[in-house]
Amino acid sequence: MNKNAIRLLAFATVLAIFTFHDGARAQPGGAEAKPAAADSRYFAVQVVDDATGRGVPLVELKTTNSVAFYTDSNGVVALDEPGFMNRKVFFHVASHGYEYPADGFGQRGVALDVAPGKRETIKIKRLNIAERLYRVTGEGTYRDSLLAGGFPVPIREPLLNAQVTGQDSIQAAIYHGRIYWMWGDTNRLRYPLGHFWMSGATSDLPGRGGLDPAKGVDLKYFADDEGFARGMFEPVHRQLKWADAMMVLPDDKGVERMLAMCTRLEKLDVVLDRTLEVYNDKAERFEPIRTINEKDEPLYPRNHPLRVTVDGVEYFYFCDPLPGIRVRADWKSVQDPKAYEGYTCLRQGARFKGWTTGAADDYYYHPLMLPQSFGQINLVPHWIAREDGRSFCDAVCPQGRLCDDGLAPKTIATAEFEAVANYSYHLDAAKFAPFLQAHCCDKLGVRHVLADVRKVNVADNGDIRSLDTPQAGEIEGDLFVDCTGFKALLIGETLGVPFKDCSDVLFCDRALAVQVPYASDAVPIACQTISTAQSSGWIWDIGLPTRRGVGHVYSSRHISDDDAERELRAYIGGAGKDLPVRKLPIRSGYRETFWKRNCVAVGLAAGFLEPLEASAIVLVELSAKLVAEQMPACREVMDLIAARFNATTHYRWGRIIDFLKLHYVLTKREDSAFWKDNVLPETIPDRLKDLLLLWSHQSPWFHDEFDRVEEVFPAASYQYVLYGMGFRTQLEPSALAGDAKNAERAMRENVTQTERLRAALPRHRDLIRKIVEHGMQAV
Amino acid sequence: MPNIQLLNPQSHAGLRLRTTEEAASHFVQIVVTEFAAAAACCPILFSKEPATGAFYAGAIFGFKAGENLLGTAEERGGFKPLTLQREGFFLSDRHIAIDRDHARFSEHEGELLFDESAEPGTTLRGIQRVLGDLHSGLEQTKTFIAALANLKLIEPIDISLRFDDGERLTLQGLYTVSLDGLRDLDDASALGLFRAGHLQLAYTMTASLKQIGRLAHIRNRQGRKSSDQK
Repeated sequence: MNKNAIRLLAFATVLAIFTFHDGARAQPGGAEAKPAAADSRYFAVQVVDDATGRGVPLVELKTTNSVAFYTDSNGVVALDEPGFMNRKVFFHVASHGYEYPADGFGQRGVALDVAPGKRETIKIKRLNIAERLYRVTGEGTYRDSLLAGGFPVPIREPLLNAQVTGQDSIQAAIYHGRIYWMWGDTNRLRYPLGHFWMSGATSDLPGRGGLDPAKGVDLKYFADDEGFARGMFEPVHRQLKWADAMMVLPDDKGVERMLAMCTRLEKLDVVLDRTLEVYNDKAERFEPIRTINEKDEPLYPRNHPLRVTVDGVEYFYFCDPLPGIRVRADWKSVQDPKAYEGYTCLRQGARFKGWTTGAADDYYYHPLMLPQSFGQINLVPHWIAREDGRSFCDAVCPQGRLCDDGLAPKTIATAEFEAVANYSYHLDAAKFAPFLQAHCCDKLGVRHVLADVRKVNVADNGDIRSLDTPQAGEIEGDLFVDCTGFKALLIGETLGVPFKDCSDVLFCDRALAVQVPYASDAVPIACQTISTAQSSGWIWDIGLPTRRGVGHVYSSRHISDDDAERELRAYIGGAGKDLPVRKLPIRSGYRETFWKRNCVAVGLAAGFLEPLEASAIVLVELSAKLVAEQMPACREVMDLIAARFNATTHYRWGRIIDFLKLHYVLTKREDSAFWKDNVLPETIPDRLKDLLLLWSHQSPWFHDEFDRVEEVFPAASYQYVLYGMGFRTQLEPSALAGDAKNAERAMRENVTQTERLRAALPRHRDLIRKIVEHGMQAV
Repeated sequence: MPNIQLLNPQSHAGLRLRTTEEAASHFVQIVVTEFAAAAACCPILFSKEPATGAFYAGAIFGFKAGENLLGTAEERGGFKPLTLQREGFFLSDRHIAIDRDHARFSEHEGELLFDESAEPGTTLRGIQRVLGDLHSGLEQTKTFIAALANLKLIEPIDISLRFDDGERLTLQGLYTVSLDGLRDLDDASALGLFRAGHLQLAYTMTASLKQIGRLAHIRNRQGRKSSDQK
C-alpha cells in the first residue's frame, strides 16, 4: 500500500469520529443497493463491517497466487479475471484495524464461487474504535461499485476528480461557510511527479447543501487550465511549498480571514523560508503577510490548530503531535511571534549511564532532591554500614525511582512553580531572552538601547569611558557589564584580560547536536537528562514536549569528528539516520579576572565549561545577583567590590571544574585513551585531589568546607556522584555513633515516601498533556 | 460501576425514590448560592479537583474521610447541600440521567417518579429544580473562583488540630480567601467584586473559618462520650 493510501486511511478515521457524535448512524453500504444486472460480466464481493453492515474500504482480498484486489469506498471488489471465473477461489482477507476469523490452519480468508454477475458478501470484524468510512480523494474511489453496478455512489466524480490520483497530509478549515481542504503532495496520471505546493478543494457543509459526512464528501477542486488540481500559492516550480496550521478568525475590521503557516523548501529538510500567509478570496490562493525568522522566533503556528477557551480567553493550540504551543486567537496576536507561548518539560536531575564501568547495567542518578534529613544527619556512613545492595540514591531519596518509572515531579493539583519532587526547567533560550528583556523594560524601568558597538573608548586612567554606536551615538557609563559572549569585547579585547584555558582538566572541546522527533505521541518523555558515556566523551539526551534534544560532547584529541558522529548516530538508532547534525565548538575556560576596572564580565564573556551539569545559567544568575547586591556606590570603592567579586567568582568556577572533573576521575573504564587520560594525576586539580583523599576517610557533608553562601553544587551533589560511581569511604566506627536510630528512621521514611510518591504521581507525558489542557493554578 | 440510564417515563414508569441516609462525607461540594446557609453551620473552603487541578468550593462536615460531625440535615438546621439532594441523579446535556443501582431507587418503596399520565410527580419535579439550581450554581461558582484567582485572592491554608485525646490532624490541600489580599485591593477591583456580589461571598467564606473551632469542639465532645461509654 503506498504512502497516499495510508494517509487517506488516517483521514477516514477522523471522519468516523465525526459521525459518532453526529448521532446519524451510518447506513450500511449495501442497504440502498439495487440488484445487479444479471448479465454483468463482473463477479462482485462486498466486505461489510459485521457490526454495522456498512461496506469497509481498503480491505485486501488476495488469492493464493498473490493476485490482490482492494475494496473501494463501498467495500466492493468487482473482478472479471478470466482465470478465476466459474471456479472456487480462496481469498485472504486482510485490513488494518479489522480482522477476519482464522480457520484451523490459521488462514484468514474465504473460498468463494466466482462467476460472472454473481454477488457475495463477506463480514469482517472491526478491531479499531473508529470505523473506516470511505476514501476522500484519489483515483477510483467508487471504481468497483460502478463496474458491478447497483451500489450507491454519493459523489459527482467517483472515478477521477481533477485528475488527482492520490494526496497526502490533509488540512481542513471551515471558512466562509464552506470546508476548505488542502493537501501537501498531489499525484497525477500523466507523470510520476505531480505537484508539491498544496492543492485545495472546497465542499459544502453538511446541512447546508453538503453531504452527510457518514455518506461522503463531494470535493470541488481548484483546478488549472488543464483541469488538474492546482497549487494554492503563486507557482514555485522546482521547489516544495507546504501550508499548515490553517486558522480562521476575524481581522481587525471584523472580516473572517483564513491564515496558514507556509514553508518553502529546496528539498526535504532544506527550508528556504517560512511565511505566514493569508487567503486571497479573489485570487483563490494564499499570499504572504509576514516572514518568520525561525532562529529568533522559534514559536510559530504549525500542524493542526485546535481552538480552545481557557479562562474566557480563546486560543489556538498547535498539535505537533502534542499541543505544546499556543497563541491568543485574535488577529494581532497570531501575526506576532512574540505572542506565542510554548510549554516546557520538567527535569528531575540526570541519569549517568556507563560512566563507571561502561557495562549495560552501569548507571546512577544525580537527583535534585536532598537526601532524607540532610540537615540533621549524614546518611552516607549508615548506608555503607548496611551493605544491603540498595544504591545510595535509592536508599536516601525517592527521585531515582520516580525517574525509573517515568513519573512527573508533581501533579496537576500542585501549584505552578511548586514541586512534590524537586525539579528544574528546560528553558528555550530564544524565548527566554525576549521575556527577560520585556520584564526589565516594562517592570524594572530599564532603558534598552539596541545598537552595534563599533568602538570602545578608554579613559586616561584605563577605565572604559564610552561606547561608540552608529545607531545611538556615544553611550557613556560608570560601570560596563560585558555580555558580548565568546567575543569578550570589553573585558578581553579592550582591557586585555587573558583567557585561562582548562582543557588540560576537562578534555571535551566539541559538540554535535541533533533534534530527534518522537516516534509517536505515546512515547514516554524522560523526566531526567540522560548522559551516556561514549568512547571519548558523552551524549546528552533531553526530553522536550515535541522532540528529544540529543548531542555528543567529545574530545577532538581523542576521536575524529566523523567517528564522533558515527557514535551519535549509533546512539539514536535507525530513526536518526538522516537527521541533520549541528557542530558546536566548546572552549572550556574562563577569564583570569572577571571584574577589571569599571567592567565586569557575565555569561559567555566570563567563560564556558562543557554542559555536563548545566551550570552556565546558574553562574549567570549568581554573577548578576552579586553585581546587583554589591553595586559600588562610587568609583572609589569599585576596586574593593571588584576584588570581592573576583574572589567569589573564581571560587565558583574552581568548584564547578572540580565537580565536573569528579565525574571523570572516578571511572574504572580503561577501554579508551580518553578515559585513561582522565585519571592521570596531572589532569586533576590539587584541591580535588585533596578532597578525594579526605573523602576516602570521611564523607562530604554540608558543614565540611562547603560553607560559602550559595554553593553551586552542594555537598549532597558530591555524595550522589561519589557513591553513585562506586567510591567508598573507609568507615570509622565513630561515624555511626549515636545516630543509628535516626538514620534508620530516615531511611525507613524514605521507603514510605518513595512508595507514596510512586502511587500518587502521574506519568511525565500525561502531566504535560494535562497542563496543556487545564493550565496550572497559581497557588 | 454506576449503572447510568437516561430517565424516561417508559423505562422508569414504576420507579420510586425512597428515603435513605445521606452518604457520610467529610467534604461536600457546594455552590455559591448555598454559602450563606452553609456558613451558619460549617466551614467553607476551596479544594482542587484531582483530575484537572481546578478549584471547587466545599463544606467541611468532618476532619477525616467519611466523618460527619454535623449529623442529619435537621441537626444542621435544615442545611442540605444540593449535591447531596441530587444523589443518584445527573444532568446529561439537557436530560436527566440516573444511576439505577443507587440505593435511593426502588420498585416497591417510596414516591413514584412519574404519575399515571407519565408526567413528573412532585418528587421528580423537586429533583429537576435541584439539578437546575446546581447547574446554574456551578456556573456562578466558577465565575466567583475565576474572579478571585484573577486578583490572586486564593491562598492555601494549613489547618493543624490537636484533640483532647491526643490525636493530631493536619488538613492539607485546602484554600481560602486571602484577607490581606482583600485589604490590599485597589478601589476599582474592590468595587468590581462588590458589584458582582463576590465580595460578600468572599467574606462569608473567611467568616466561616470560625466554624472549624466549633467542629473541633463537637469532635472532642463526641470523643469524650465514646470513651465514657467504654
